Amino acid sequence: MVSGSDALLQAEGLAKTYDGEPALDGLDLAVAAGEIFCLLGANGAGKSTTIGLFLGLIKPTAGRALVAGVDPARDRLAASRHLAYIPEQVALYPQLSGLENLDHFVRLSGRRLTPSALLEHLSDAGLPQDAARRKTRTYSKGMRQKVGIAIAAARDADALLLDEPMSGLDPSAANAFARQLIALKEAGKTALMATHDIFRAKMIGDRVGIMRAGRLVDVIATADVDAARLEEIYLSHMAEEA
Amino acid sequence: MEQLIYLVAAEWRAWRRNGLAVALGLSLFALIALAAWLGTQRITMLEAERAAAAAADREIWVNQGEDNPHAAAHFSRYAFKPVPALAVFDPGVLDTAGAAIWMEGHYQNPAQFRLIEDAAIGGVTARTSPAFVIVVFGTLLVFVLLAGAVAGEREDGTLRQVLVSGVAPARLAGAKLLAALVLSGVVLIATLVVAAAFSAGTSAAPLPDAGLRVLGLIVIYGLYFVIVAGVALGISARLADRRGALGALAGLWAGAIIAGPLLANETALGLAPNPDGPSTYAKIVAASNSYFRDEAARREALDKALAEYGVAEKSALPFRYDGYELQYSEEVAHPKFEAVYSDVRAVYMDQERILGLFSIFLPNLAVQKLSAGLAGTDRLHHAAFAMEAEAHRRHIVKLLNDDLAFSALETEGRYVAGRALWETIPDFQMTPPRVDAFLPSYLPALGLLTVQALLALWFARTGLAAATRGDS
Repeated sequence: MVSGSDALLQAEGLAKTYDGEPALDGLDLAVAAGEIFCLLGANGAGKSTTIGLFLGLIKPTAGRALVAGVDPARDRLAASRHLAYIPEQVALYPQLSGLENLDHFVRLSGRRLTPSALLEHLSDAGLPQDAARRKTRTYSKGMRQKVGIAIAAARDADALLLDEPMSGLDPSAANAFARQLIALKEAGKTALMATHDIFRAKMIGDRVGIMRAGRLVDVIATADVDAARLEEIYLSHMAEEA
Repeated sequence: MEQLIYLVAAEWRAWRRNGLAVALGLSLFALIALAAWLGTQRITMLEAERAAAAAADREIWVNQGEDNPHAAAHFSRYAFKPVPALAVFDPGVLDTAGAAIWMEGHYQNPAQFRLIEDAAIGGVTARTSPAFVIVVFGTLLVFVLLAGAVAGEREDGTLRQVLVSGVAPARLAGAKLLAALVLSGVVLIATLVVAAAFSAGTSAAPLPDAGLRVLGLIVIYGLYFVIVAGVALGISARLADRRGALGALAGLWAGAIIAGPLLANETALGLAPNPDGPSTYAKIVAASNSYFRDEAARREALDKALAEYGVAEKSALPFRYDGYELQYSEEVAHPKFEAVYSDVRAVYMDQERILGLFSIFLPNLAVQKLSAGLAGTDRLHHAAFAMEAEAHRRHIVKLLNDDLAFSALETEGRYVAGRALWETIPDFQMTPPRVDAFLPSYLPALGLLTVQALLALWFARTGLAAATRGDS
């Protein structure tokens, strides 16, 4: 169990309703520094809402999210200094190359890296050098996600918020992405990842939280279960919902 | 500050790589250069005609031969309106208000020789000015550039990525606005430089306060582009995608830049119709004739002169009474002429007020008014010319009447003067007035533009704030 004082990402009674319908219902969560926490759940379970609340892009109806002790609903800029974000579809400027996109987003966060350092980040993320100099309008989804990983690494943010980042990737690309994430964890980064992929969650995550109808209904340490058991637990929770 | 400068540079980079924006920008510069060149041609032609006509007027005047000074007053001379150098940038009413005034004895004539009367087919295109191009196509360029500024980023998903990278919405809005303003500033400065370079090749009249006027032009066009950019950004922030934003801005452009001014002008003319020339001239003739057709007034004038000089007969007066009476009749007519022109000016003032009301929603109308004023080509500057020409006419007529009254005293029968007198009649010379003479007329429009600019900034800021809320 992670105590609030150790947590880099923390939710306290976090709730969000849209037109009276709860999208997230009293989430309590603490993700420790250096931990990868995966949120599993069906569509509409509240995973993306949780990510949005930590990003400060959504205002909570009740409770609060904390990023390194900063409430993003109150001070999004301060919270964003600790965060990097990788969505399901990494948004890049199509008229810029991968290298230019990386430089752009790194500079927006107040850092400046040399072109060689930027290329190294892209290379570490698995993007070939010749592709790095091509306009991103020609990129596949896998290449875009690699640039997203490179942005997160180059920004040197303490925590990563990932919203189904491997959705739609082919198995090889998903595997490469997962390995990059593990490398970032080994470098001391924290991650909160929303995903549908039980097997990647088991592979990457230290803990997995199962969400259903806006509530966190179970938290499982991945070291305690194998993938098959994790799937069994997940399906049993989903069956309760049905 | 570093982040802001970087964001502005990033916007510029995006525009440079946008083929449509580059094509529009190059077209704009080409149009400005063309408009400045055409303006220069027009002013060079006007100045050449003016110089030739002024020289011919003087030649004809001094070589008219011997004649009675009163006949010479009827023959009289022309006042030619000086063309300010900034007319290359904004010709204002130069084409429509008349280029010369016939300073005829007995009559305060309206200006005549309107350039528009000589316009050939395609003349409208030939009268396109840099000021016109900036407002019409500069607005279009900013609209096209900013249509996708927020809507496009939201559509592509980069807006969220930018915001979570540590950029404050206000800074993002400021950067996008600043990028558009820097671009507008570059366009404006380039236009003024092009116009100045072209006008340097003409013999147009230098304005005594050209620096102040150019500074004023930069301020008003700066405010205008704050409005344009603020509105564009606000709309882009409120619409879901760049296509919708571009459509909305295209509609706004057509309404505000094309249809709006037409509607405003038609409304102004409908509610305050222009005084028609024949009836105005009939009033001038009536004012001129009023004294000589009023026997009682003539008797009263004679009695007054006799009483003043203590004599009983016209022949005992120390001057020729016909010269005296002609001058007397002129002075009687002056307030009547002023009343006629005051009525004409009142109509134009009413039209200005109506246009002023429209400019609450159409800032381009306020800019048009101020731009022509600063260029020295608006109706107020034309009125200043007309007033100075009238003052000169009165001076000429008085010199001729005085000559008739005093020099002809010893002459029996018909008195005639010659070249010696004609050469004493001064040419009409006019230095364009300083712009601060008209400041009270310009301040309301300037104040309105300032308020509109602040509202546009607020519109952009609130739009972006809404766009950056995840709940939206």
